[in-house]
Amino acid sequence: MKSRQQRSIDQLEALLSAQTNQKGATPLPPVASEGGDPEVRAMARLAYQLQTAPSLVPDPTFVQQVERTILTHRVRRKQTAIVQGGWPRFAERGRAWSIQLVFAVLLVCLLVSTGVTMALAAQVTNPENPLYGIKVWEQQVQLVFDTSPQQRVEVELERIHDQLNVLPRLTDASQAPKYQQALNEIMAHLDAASTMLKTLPAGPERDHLWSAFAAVKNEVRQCLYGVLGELPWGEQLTTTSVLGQLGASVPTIEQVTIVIMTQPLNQATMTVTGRDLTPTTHLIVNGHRLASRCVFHQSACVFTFPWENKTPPEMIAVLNADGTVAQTTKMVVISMNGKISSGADGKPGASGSNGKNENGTTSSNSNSNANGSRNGGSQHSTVQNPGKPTSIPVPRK
Amino acid sequence: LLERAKQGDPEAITVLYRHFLPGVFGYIAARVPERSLAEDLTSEVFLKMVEGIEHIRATEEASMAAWLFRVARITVAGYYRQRAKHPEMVSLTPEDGDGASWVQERATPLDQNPETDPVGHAEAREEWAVVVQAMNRLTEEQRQVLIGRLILGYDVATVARMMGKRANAVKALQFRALQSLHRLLAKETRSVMEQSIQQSPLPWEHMR
Repeated sequence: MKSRQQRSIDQLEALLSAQTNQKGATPLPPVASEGGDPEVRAMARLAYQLQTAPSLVPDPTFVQQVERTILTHRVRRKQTAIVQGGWPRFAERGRAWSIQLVFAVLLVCLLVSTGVTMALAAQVTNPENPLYGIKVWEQQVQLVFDTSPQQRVEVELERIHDQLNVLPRLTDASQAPKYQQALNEIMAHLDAASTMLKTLPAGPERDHLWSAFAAVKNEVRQCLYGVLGELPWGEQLTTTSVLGQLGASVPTIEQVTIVIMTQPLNQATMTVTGRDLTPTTHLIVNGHRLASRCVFHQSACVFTFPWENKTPPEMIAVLNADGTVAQTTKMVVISMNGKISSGADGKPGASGSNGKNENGTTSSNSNSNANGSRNGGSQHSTVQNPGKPTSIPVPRK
Repeated sequence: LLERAKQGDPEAITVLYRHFLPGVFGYIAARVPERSLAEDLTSEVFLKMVEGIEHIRATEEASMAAWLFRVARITVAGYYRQRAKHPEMVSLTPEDGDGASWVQERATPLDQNPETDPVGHAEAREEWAVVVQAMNRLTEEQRQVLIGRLILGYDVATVARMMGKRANAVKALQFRALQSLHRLLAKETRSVMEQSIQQSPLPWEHMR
């Protein structure tokens, strides 16, 4: 059963349908009927008044005027579009939309280029490559999220590999600072890897990583031996020191004694004591390699060579066949005939062999260990009795 | 027809315009008190139609009417918003020399010629302002139902498609719209009559 309001709605609709029985036709006045809701009849009358209200009917002049306006506007728009082409119209209509599109394209480009850059950087093994910094950053980010020691050890070993790739290209003297930096980084990564390996619990994983670590360490040694012969002297000393730290056999000098005899022959005998000296070890005096070979005598390496050069020795070094070196400026010089020349020009020698001690023995005493760090200064010792040298301090050069 | 209009066919655009003009004008004229203003806003709506016809997604008459009513609603709302920001300045001095007031000048004729019947014109204008005021108190849906049914002459089913509603809902909206309008107009009429009674002198006051 319909409610009262529903009946009213239906009644109104019936009245309105009767008024507007044909679309577009002039509405008919409401049918006068006695029955039904008076308010609904009033509403139907109101509807009729609205339908026929002159205020809601457009003026014919206005209709034509607007028609002309919109057609003119249409033609003008069409002409503008033809003259300007498609792009201005696009820019005009969708400026905001196009800005969003540009932003979206830029964002996509940025994401793609970032992804490509990171993918490329991940493959870079050359630390000199600008992308290498990105790779290191990636690895650091990776380590932030993955703090497992295994992962960290693997990253450290990978970085060592990367440095080993570039090391042979840094042997020129002009690249010395970069070479030193690369060497320092290799040692730092080795130390870090070693420290983290020690924290790992015993097991197959740890054994595997230790094997990998040992292999990398061996690779480092091989690489350093490979570049030793091409390095400048300072880097050669440093590399020898690093090899020593990596467990390789490298020469060290503990003591050098030079006995110079000018009568009857100008001859010098140099006795070098130290470690890992071999029969093939060469002697270098003041930067000049001598032809003399080492003869072992009571675990010391003895070199005998003509004393033609009157310049007193300032730096003594040894060079092993594998390229490792050691040097020292600490030495004892003994003149068996009590006379030593200071050089052809008669100037006093830096080591104190200045000719003033004509009756004594002069020794220069300064030391540099295999690490290349110099300590002490040149010292001269004058001995009144040949064979019993006494060291006296002299100003450092 | 709609497709041809979208492609810029002037004839199709003209047919569309003539078909929808009564509805759009009726809607706007029921919302603003002056005919001239209603005409300006109607022109604006159809210019917008020409500008955007290529992008209209409507495929039938009901959806096209819905689009046009949406544009009309936005245009009228824009007018009222603008008027609220910048109140209209009116001159108090007569603009023509024959003594016609600004009210007469601005009040475009509805169904009477103000030159021949200025009093009737003013009365009609005031009456229509009351109707507009009442129409503006209806909801947007109620207004659209009235325009669709009474001005465009659509049946309930077409108006329902235009508004995206069911036929019963449209009938109910139509009933409530006319009921509200009837009551609002009755109230306004009473108020106007009471005001005029209060302002006019009583008969015996003239006798004094």
